[in-house]
Amino acid sequence: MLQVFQRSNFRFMWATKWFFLAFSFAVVLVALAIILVKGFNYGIDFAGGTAVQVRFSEPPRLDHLREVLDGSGLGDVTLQRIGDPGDNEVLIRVERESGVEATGDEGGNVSEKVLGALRGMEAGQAGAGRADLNTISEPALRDFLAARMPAVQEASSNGAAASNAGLIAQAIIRARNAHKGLFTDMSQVTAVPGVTEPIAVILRDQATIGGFSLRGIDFVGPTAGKELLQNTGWAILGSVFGILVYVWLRFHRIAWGLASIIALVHDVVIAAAAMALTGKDFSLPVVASLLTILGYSINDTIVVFDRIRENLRLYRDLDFERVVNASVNQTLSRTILTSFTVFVAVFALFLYGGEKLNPMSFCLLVGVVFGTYSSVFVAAALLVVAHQFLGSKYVKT
Amino acid sequence: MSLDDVRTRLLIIAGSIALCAYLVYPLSRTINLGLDLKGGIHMVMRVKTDDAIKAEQDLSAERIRASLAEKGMAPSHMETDGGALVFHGIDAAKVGEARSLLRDQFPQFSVEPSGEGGLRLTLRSADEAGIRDAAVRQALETIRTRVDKFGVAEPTIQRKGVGPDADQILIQLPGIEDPERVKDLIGSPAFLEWKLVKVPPGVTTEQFRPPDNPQAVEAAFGGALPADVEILPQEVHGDDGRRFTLYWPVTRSSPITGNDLKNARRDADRFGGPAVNFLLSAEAGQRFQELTRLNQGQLLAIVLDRKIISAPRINAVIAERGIIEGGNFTVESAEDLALKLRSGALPAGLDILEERTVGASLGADSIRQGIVASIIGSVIVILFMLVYYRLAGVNAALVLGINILILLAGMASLRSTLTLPGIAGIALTVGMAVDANVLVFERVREELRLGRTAKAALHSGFAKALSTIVDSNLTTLIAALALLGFGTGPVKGFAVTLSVGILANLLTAVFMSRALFDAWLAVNPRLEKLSI
Repeated sequence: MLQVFQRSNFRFMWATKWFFLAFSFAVVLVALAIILVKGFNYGIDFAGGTAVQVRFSEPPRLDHLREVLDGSGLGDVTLQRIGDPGDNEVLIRVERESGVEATGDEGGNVSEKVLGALRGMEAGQAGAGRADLNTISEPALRDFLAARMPAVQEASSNGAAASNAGLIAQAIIRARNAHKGLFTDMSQVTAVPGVTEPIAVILRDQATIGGFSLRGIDFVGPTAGKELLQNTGWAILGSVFGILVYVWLRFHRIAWGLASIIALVHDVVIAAAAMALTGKDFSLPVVASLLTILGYSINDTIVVFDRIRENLRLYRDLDFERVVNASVNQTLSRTILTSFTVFVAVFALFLYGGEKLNPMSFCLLVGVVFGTYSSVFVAAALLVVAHQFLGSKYVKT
Repeated sequence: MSLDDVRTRLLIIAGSIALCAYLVYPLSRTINLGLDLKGGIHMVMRVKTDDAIKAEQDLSAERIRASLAEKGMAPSHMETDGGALVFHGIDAAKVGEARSLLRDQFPQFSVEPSGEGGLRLTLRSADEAGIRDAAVRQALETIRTRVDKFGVAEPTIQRKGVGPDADQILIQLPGIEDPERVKDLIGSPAFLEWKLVKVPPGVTTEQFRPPDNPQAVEAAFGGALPADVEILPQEVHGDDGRRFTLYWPVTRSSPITGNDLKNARRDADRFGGPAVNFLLSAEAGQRFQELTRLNQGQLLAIVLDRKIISAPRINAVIAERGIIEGGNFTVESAEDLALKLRSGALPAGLDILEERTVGASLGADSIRQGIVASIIGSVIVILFMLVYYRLAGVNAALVLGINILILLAGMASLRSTLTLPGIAGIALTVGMAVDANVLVFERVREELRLGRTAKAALHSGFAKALSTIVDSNLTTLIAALALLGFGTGPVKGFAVTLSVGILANLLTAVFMSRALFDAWLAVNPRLEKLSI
């Protein structure tokens, strides 16, 4: 039988606990310092501004791109290659302009300016001013075709032409998605089933294959971000309070609730500091993962606390610290195993979940590790400290 | 534990599995994908209701002036002060009479005296709120009509926010990837006006050429524009591709506006280029006829959102039917303009507060990566459980499968939306679901070590782990619910999957895993050694 710790008997309490409490205290202080000094790399969700994600058909030349964007009066622009190098993908982020902040006007048009500037780069090439098959959407393509399919229109009623155009538009957009959202040659379009020669002629004459496709836009105006930060604070406070009350009720004494809440805050502060330290995007999903850490890292604490309570009833005469130490040892296997399974699941997200889930899963990973650590070295240790200094009145259940 | 009891519980499990399978089949139709996965545009817009208030005041100001003039109490001038209209120079002896007259005729204003011969009219707050509310509702209707006519499948267009934020509109358009065109289609007011061009004195209509700066227009009028004339710009594309702006002097008033339109369609001009034809209401048609009859040979500017599209010469008497041409139209822009005109003008401008556009290809990538990561995580977790707990691991794996099935069925029956963070929530649920199994199995091992029989060990293992399992799941649920309460969009999706996952977890860990073990014991009543 495999067993992580069989009848482990580590001395977690006594002098050891002071060492780790001091260590945790120091780590939290450093973590707070990191958060205060370095700060979070707030994503669009909180900082506001515009992010435009674009995929080019050719490897993008960032310096040239920067020149073009700087020339279009957008203010503070940052460029970042993302995804696999072969994807030719760039994230263009435009900070919120101070003027925009004051009025709330025009912020939503920044992405249009960015796209306009990118189109302008291609203006010299053939095809400027035509419908771009790499950025057109399905209804627009349908209208484009319906308006230009006279042959079909004469042959049948108007409605049939429209529905026919609709089907062809759908087929072309599907093919575009199959090509990772970007046609690189007109022959890829004309090869789509349903695109007959007359339609191919229309497309060759009046449409073009642009050099980029739009992968996504995120724009958050000035008011939205502030409100979100506020709501975030309330959600964290609310769940801390909820958990405090729950643990207090379940274990009858407030010391248990306070010990677990201090451990939780310790975990969340460290996870947040890890975000600040690595400079990963601090976005809404990251906040969600901080809250999840709150909810999850209490689990290990509860496993330990449950056992402590059970043992206190069994061994009424034993020294409190001894009971706690024994309980921690008895539950050590499951504390580590339960965290391990969650760690594995989240680690897979971190490695394979893609760009957008990366900051969130990183935050969770840190939280899970420290959540396990703190249930033993912070929560259980604090319970003993409370017992030593406040007396059993506040601790014994 | 009687055999019947075990059979009943197994039947319940089989029934739940069948029900869940029915609820989630086929997955593509029962699970609602969020815009971040299927692609589309999500926008929150704010209706600038101040515009509507301003329009109401402008309209009322004219009528108040006319009303006073009718009774021989014409004010000498008017000014706006904040939100109030202040009329000055009313015959001091008649101020009282004017005040009661206006009170009767314009009950939406409170009328107060303001200095010598002055009256100050302020929009009452209830009426102001009513105008703002009506503007938002009308904007909502207009946007809905425009989106419907553009042909978006399953759009969401609804009012959002409460109290001071009640001027927000949420717009979700699945499958739409060209935000530039959609924003123009939705957000431009599309207020159409016809205005006569006022050529400067000493210049004939034939001679007049609009200059490329507004100062030149003023100069042509001798430095100051007449009170009823304003200057509006026209953007022109030269043959060589250059763009420049011309400035026209036009009448301040608009005899005909977009409100008089009955219909508008994309059409072709004389040369086959794109244009928009229109049909006016019968009453407006008569006014248009009168206007064109009286002003033969003059220029009539067609103005869209304070910009001149074109200013053709009136060569014939035009009634209901006419055409808008010469506006640098493309087939698409003519089609869009016709669509906007058919849908009516927006009562106020729109601000974009938030926009999230996700291309379908990005959404597909997200789904693929999310699913791959979840599967890899699940496989490793299951393998670990099998290696570590052997046959009991099979129990855990089975229960995990049921857990995910229940989670999906819960999502389907709640009609909640699966987002990218939601997929992360599922992966997290996989990791947390086996936690309950670990707690039970470790406890059972402990009991076995104490020398209990397989049956007794299982029994007390489940019993003793129960409170721990409930406690730990409920605390996670507290955090998940806090998240649900504050979260928006994708994060809400994460909170939903997490909450439903926790509940499914409680059900499977406490009830199903136990039932499967009991069934196993019932089949092997003499089981001595547990494979755990």
